[in-house]
Amino acid sequence: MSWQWFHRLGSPRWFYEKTDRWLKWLAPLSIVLMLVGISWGFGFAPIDSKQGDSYRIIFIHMPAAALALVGYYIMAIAGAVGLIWRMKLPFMVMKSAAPIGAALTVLTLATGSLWGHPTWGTFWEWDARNIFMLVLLFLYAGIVVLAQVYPSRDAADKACAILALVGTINVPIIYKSVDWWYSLHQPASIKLTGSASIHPSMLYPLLLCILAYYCFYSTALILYTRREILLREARTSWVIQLAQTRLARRKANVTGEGL
Amino acid sequence: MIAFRFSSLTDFMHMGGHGIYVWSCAFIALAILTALLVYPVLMARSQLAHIQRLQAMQKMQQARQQQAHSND
Repeated sequence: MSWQWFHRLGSPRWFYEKTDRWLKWLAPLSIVLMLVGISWGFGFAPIDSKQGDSYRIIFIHMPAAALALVGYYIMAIAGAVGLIWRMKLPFMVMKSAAPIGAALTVLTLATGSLWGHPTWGTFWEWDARNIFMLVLLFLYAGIVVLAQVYPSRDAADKACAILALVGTINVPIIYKSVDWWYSLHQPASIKLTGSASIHPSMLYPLLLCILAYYCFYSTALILYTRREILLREARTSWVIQLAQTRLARRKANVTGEGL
Repeated sequence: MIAFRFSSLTDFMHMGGHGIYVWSCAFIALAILTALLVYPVLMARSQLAHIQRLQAMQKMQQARQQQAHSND
């Protein structure tokens, strides 16, 4: 079996050039999906009989939480691949996933808090899921900081990967927390097995929002990784070439080049 | 199944008293998600500009050295 594709996957240059084309449709797609999904959920989905209109926060809150968890696995798997095969690109992906995950966790906590006030009667409750979500934020923040503090990049990458892998234990705990502990959080509306406990008129816009968040996450991860590539590969000839063609193009006053 | 659920725009903003929560969430989401797209693009641009400056400086130094040699 040829492993060529796998090693090409580890090449920052290949990634940079490939994603140039991907971003051209992925970025607009994620923005359009997000606008359609949120508008549908906010304006066209029916009102909830118990929570009133405050339930509409689910269209922002739940997909953000889902991607904060999925993003953690992406970060940890990238770290593991980097550790095992000693490839450069997975470590860059890992480092890029940390600030995005942290931002999505903050978004989840903030929107959850704003949802909690009208629904639970409090902005914050030391509920199992809340606590472990806060732990997730600290894990993400820890990796962001850890990536900065080591003088050696290799050491920083290894430390981050190990912290990311150790922290994966937190993700299933968050996911199952509503079943394991008595919780203010409502149990899952959508399950991988079994039917959803949510009406299609609310389910479809929610699924669209989840899809939009996945597209958005991919776009953001690609953008952050490209920036990390430019930082780490600054001395390679292809990046210097890239910087010069960009300068030349700007001098020629041609706009609209992709980053 | 798909019809606008509010009688007016004011009604849509108000959302039965929950508007402040729902729209605050929308605003926070907009701010955070926009930042996640804009920040890496700006940083990548400034990094490319930095590489350009370094290259220009190197070229200038090389030119100066060559001039010094030809003067000798």
